[in-house]
Amino acid sequence: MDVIYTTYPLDLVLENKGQEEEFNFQYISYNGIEMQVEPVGWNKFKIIRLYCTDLKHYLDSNLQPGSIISF
Amino acid sequence: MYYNSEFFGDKEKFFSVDNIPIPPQPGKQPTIHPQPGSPVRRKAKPNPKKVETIKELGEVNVPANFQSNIHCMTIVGQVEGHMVLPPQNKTTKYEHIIPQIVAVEQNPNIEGMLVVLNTVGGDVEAGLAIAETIRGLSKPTVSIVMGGGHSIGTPIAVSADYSFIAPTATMTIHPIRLTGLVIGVPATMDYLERMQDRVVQFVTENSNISEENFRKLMFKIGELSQDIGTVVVGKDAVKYGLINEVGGMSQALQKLKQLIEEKKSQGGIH
Repeated sequence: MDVIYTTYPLDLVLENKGQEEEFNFQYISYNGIEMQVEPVGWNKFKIIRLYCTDLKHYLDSNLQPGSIISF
Repeated sequence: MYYNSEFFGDKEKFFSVDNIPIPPQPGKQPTIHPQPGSPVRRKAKPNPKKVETIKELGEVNVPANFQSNIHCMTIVGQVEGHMVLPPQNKTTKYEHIIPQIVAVEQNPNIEGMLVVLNTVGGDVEAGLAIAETIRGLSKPTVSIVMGGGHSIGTPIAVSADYSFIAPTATMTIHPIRLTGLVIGVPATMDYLERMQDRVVQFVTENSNISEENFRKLMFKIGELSQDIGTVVVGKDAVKYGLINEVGGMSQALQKLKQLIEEKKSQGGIH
């Protein structure tokens, strides 16, 4: 259950909430690091989040959510 | 050269300035070869690495081999909770921030953490989870509110060992509103009241403000238009005891270095 505590108007925070497109998240292993990604083009994946429990990857600037990886 | 275009008709063919040959100028010839000692101008080669950096990060120089003993964590936009917010929101994701704090705790090269806040608030549970994790860190932490640390940003700001606020930065303290904010389950007044108590309790435990004063700020009438609560600017936050000191980035870093030194002299950071 979410309680949003913000100064930002709630109707702006939740704007387009109902009409967003289907998420196409995939679960992959990249260099042995499990993560959830979203394909954004041919051989291009945007990192959504890491599932891996190795802490050093969380400080790696190339693996921050939103960065693009490719194989 | 001036001519009447109507009179000359298709003058371009004959009188175009480009067609008039320039006679060679008598006298001094332009020097073609650079004189010894004068700088030679080389054609700049595009640096693909630099171009990439500008494209991706909007800045030119990224220190590549610079090792800092301080980790800087930024809390920006909305603190995102269990629900993925629509993409127009700039969000801080707790599922990444929390393991990062654990990594900071565990990484022997990191001796302290700076938390930079510019947030408008967000999910109560996620915000409190971040705040609790920062509070639980054994390494020295300093927070600085730049721009804004509103709503759920307040507990995150006070969770550090020492907190700063920029002179122009603001913090909005207001109650968790009773309408429209709970998504999913119809909440009871009692539930929201308890949610609010958690925020009040965390803030009063981790700062110098008393519970009575914090609630006073929270329920003040006439400060915000169409709402209750208070906007606290820079030195007022220090006056109320919410934040330790007014200052900028250099003061915050200086304080963090000082805390690291103190910690080291007391037995070190493991």
